[in-house]
Amino acid sequence: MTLPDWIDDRFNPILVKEVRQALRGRYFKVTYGLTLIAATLVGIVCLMASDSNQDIGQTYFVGIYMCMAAAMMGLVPFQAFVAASGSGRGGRAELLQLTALRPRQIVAGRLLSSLVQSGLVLAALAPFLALSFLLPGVDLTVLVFVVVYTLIFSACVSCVTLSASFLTENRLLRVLLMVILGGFQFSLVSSAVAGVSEILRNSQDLQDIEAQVALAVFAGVAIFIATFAFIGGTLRISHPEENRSTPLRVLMFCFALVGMIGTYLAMHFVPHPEAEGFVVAYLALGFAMLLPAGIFSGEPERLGRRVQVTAPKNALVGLLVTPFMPGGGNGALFNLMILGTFGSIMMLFPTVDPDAGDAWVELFVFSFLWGVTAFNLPSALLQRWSKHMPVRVLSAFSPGLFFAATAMVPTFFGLMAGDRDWGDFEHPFCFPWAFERLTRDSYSNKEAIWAVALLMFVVTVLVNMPRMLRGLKEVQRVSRLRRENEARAKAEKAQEVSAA
Amino acid sequence: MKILDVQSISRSFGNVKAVDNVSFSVSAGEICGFIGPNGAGKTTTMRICSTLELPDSGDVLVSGSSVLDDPRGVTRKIGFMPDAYASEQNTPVRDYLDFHARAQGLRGAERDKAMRSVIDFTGLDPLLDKEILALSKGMRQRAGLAVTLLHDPSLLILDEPAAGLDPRARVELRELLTVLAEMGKAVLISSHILTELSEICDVVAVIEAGTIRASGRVSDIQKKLSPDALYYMRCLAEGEALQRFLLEQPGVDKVRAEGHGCVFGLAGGEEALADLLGRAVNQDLRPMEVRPLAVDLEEVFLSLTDGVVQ
Ligand SMILES: Nc1ncnc2c1ncn2[C@@H]1O[C@H](COP(=O)(O)OP(=O)(O)OP(=O)(O)O)[C@@H](O)[C@H]1O
Ligand SMILES: [Mg+2]
Repeated sequence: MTLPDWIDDRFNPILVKEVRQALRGRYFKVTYGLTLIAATLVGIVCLMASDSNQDIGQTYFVGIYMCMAAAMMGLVPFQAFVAASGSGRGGRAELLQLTALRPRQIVAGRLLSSLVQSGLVLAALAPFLALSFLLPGVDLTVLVFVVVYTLIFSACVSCVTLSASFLTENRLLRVLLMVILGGFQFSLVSSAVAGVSEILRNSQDLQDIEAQVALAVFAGVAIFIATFAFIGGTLRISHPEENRSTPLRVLMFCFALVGMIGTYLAMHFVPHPEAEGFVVAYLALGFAMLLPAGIFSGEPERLGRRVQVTAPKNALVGLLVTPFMPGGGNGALFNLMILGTFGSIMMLFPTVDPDAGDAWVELFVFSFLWGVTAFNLPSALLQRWSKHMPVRVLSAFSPGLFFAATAMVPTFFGLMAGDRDWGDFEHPFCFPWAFERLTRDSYSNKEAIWAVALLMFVVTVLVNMPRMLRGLKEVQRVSRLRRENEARAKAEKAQEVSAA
Repeated sequence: MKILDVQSISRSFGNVKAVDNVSFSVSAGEICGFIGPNGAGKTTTMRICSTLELPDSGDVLVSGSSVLDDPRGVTRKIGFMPDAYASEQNTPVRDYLDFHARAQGLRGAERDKAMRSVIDFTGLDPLLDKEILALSKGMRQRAGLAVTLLHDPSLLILDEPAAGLDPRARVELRELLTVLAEMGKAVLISSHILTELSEICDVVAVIEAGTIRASGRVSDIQKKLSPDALYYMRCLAEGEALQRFLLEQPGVDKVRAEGHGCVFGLAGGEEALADLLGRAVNQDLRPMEVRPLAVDLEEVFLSLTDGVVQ
């Protein structure tokens, strides 16, 4: 066997097929051709329009970058969305389930094919990029940074569009998804172009630690979302009885840990006033990132047969991994755990910042109470109907809806009753308002704010207790069952041996 | 040797019991026809057998591997051809086969060999550079069959492979399947068009409204349904006399005139038939032709099912 053959054999089959299909198809040819033509035209226009000789390279580069971003973050990921249709009953993805391919390989193959297409676009634009470098005004480091950053984002966007494509086969919903994704991609491409022209103009800003951290965090968030989408897509096309929850839970948990350690390091090494900004950003980011946690507490409770065989045989290990097992009750446990982990960084604040530390702890406890309520209360009420897909979607969005509802509904009643404060979103059920009041030393009526948060928390715990216990018991039961099965199999074997 | 062993599987969708306590088995070298009207649960049963759907209860063993506990082991041993093949755009037949061979984990020379053998078997050679979407229905069916054969499965599950094929393509499909059975593969093939199964199936399972109405050899089923065998008899004497004679005989029923002779059911096997013939000769009816009638699947089917639609 020759070397090329050997390499050819190692390629992901989906990658080979997708690239062949894409290269043969009209879509890619048009994308490719249009990008080249656009780059040429834009380049000419930029060169003619630029009046100062100093930054002619910059103007030219921004023009070329516009084409590059549109192709790599717009058209190529969109192609991934279109090509990945057919995941429903009798669809292509389902038939692949019958081959030796694993769902992970399928998603990875599609993602790689998108990357190859991005690479081809990049290769085609390379002469233009080189020209912009030869013109005055563009730094090589900036150029390399921009290209690498765009490649990363291209892969991330492809991940998201690809997995979004697995969500539904319904025509109407797919059109809706296309519109949403298209809008998202458009805004991403335009902000990328704006960002690049900004960076070109103030390229010394890149030396700034703050700018570097911001860019790194931005890329980190994008990679997190992409990873989430990748795993989500993989689970979506795997067998319905397969464990479709644990990998995502592990990812969330790891993210919480990384965020926690990152914030702690930032607080230690970044000068004091700036660290506070990080902490607030971290809190906001944390809540945004936790949004998918609503998916976990909305799952049906029964552990499928293929999930059961993955339960640990050891009872104690079973207890420890229960929050990571699928099911709504376990999801509620998971949310408790992750909110606790995620927020416990706040407990360390007094050691770093002795003056304001206690205030931070207070705010953390308050956010924790609200977080647990939002993530677990609505989903617990919906648990009984969690067999039905629409209810689960509702559950997944319920934390956000809960914050909105607790702010709006009392406000509405305040308006009806003619209460000026309540009608202005100034009541203890409105989380942002209550949070803001707690940060003020002068505010006198903090008891009411705490009472509301505590009351909701207690109700949440009471409502969730049964299903969390059920979840714990179920995992223990399955674990015991596995132990018994193993013992029985052993006994049978021993009997066979002695009989022989 | 049992290749496919379906053990009392059930599957409901909401209130619809798509499959209800279904059991049957298919042995190596056997072609089993899976017959039932629309919505009977054929596709659901086949999807359970191919691990695409899970039974609520029961189990399916494929050469000893359970679809519940070892789905990957099962998929290695089966080739499943769904009723509607998903289309691939911009893909010639060659690439299509190449992709599926890769997806089955075949590498290098092994892949070339597997592709060569299925291409030769299904006669796809002249079509290799045509696009899948440009193929005719019969040819696409062949490409589908080629794909399911790539990894040399011991069990083939074909969901309505003959639907929409012209008579010629149907005959060709039948020949291919017979060869496969001779190679020792077990074949499960579904249809609601009965005549297309009658000539190739060794055994059938008749399903309606999710339950198996009958299964086994066609002739056995027929015997179980009506213990009488059916015969056709023609005499030199006029038809009416023959009919009168038959109606008087013990063990004879369902007499009806057909052509110049009569069709009738007779209990008691060949012994009874010989006696009957003797009496006919004695009564000077001058019998010229007696032959057992081939079991008609259509008839079996109609008598087993009562048109319940779910
Ligand atoms: N995914 C599903 N969701 C809901 N109901 C289903 C699903 N799959 C099958 N059914 C129902 O189960 C019953 C059996 O369907 P199935 O497709 O197995 O029948 P079939 O024998 O293959 O029919 P046909 O000859 O029309 O292909 C039907 O009533 C069908 O509506
Ligand atoms: Mg069907």
